[in-house]
Amino acid sequence: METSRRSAILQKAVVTPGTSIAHRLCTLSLDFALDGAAILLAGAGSPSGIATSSGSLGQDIAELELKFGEGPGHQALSNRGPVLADQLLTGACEEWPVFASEARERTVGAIFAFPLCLGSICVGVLEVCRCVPGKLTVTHLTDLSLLASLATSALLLMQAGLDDRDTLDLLESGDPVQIRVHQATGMVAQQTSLSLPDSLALIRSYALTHELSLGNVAEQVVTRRIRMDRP
Amino acid sequence: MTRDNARDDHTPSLASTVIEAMEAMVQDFDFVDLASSLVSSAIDLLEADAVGVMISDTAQLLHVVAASDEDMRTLEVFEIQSDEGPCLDCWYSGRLITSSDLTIDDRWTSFRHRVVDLGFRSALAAPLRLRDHNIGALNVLWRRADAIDEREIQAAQALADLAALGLTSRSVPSEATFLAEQIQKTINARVTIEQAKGMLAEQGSMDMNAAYSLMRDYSRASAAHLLDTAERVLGREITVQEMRASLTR
Repeated sequence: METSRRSAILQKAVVTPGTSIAHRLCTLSLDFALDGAAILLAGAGSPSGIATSSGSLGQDIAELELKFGEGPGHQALSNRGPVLADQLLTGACEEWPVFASEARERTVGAIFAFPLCLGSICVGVLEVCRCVPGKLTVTHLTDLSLLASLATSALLLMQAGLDDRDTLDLLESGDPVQIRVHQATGMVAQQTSLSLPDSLALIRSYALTHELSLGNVAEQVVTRRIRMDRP
Repeated sequence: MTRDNARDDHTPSLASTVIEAMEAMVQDFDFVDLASSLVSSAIDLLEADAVGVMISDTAQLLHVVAASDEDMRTLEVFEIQSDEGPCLDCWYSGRLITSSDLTIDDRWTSFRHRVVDLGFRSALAAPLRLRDHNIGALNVLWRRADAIDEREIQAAQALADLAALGLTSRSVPSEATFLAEQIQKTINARVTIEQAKGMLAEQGSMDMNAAYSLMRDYSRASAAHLLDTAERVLGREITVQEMRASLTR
């Protein structure tokens, strides 16, 4: 069920106009009764730049995060979990009071942030908002979570040096990130002294070069049949 | 002597497990810690051979958040159930699912082959129930056939209820939003722990089980959450040598 939903979202993303996969996914999220969406990049654990934005309020909320150094995007990244603030007009918003009041002035009534993380690898945050306050429906929450997971993979693949076309192909092939991939990422980080995202990218590029699946290479790393610190 | 009396001398009772879990919940509480201690209790109480806790994310996919056995193969038995298996059926239906002999059970072809290959014969999945919906399942496996009786069913459901309570203990009853945030955070925490296991396993030339045990023992000894220890490992703030040294002191 989720797999088919994931591919349905991906198919929609393909036909959504945009300059990159990230931009298309961002624009697509507006379909879920939203007025703005942005993907912020993460640097050192907090939002550090704007990857892309869509809708009338997308750029605004992203800029507020960066300008004030606080907001649901910051909170989502530090929690490594989503922040669902559905009552911006009446809620306290203790964690980001300045952001909240600035956002209200721009007619934002509800804002939702999904961290783009794989364990301790955080590549960014998907932040969406709308003028009308209120909870997301279960369907929209599900679809936005799938979208965030696609955006996480897309950003990781692009950081690994893949272009739009190859990123899309890999996303379509499904190539699930399994437990063994997380373990292998930690092992490779130790072998190479690289960061975790770079270690994952290295495993990914090894898989592509040798025409193997990500899971297969990860298993060989975990069972110590291949090492990444020796050519 | 009844079976229960014989057990009392060596293993914790269900009551003491409940009390311990409740105590943990009112203190500085972390779900990953509770889940990992619940799986060890489940092994003892149910005389089981493998136990896993799975929860479903906001995208409706099942994730392993704790397992009694941390090697790759066992974890994957739980992991593949995001496609099929007693856990998935249990989570969908909200009913407790059992199989007393997997070798002759014709449900879940691919799951069944994998677990039978690993030597398991009986399986049980109890739903993590929360008011009107299910948030995951507790999965129990035994190496012997016919391991499941009324007693196992009741105890497994009690442990599953305890896990569900733990996941929601910090949320206001009406706040589904908070739960969604909490669940996603927990799933991500588990991924961090896997990455840290990999880093330690490589650093200390040990297997994933040993890497996990070291992190767990070190966390207990220093009264730290497992997730915090995992993050320090990944941040290269603490090494295998330092963790070992602090445990032998």
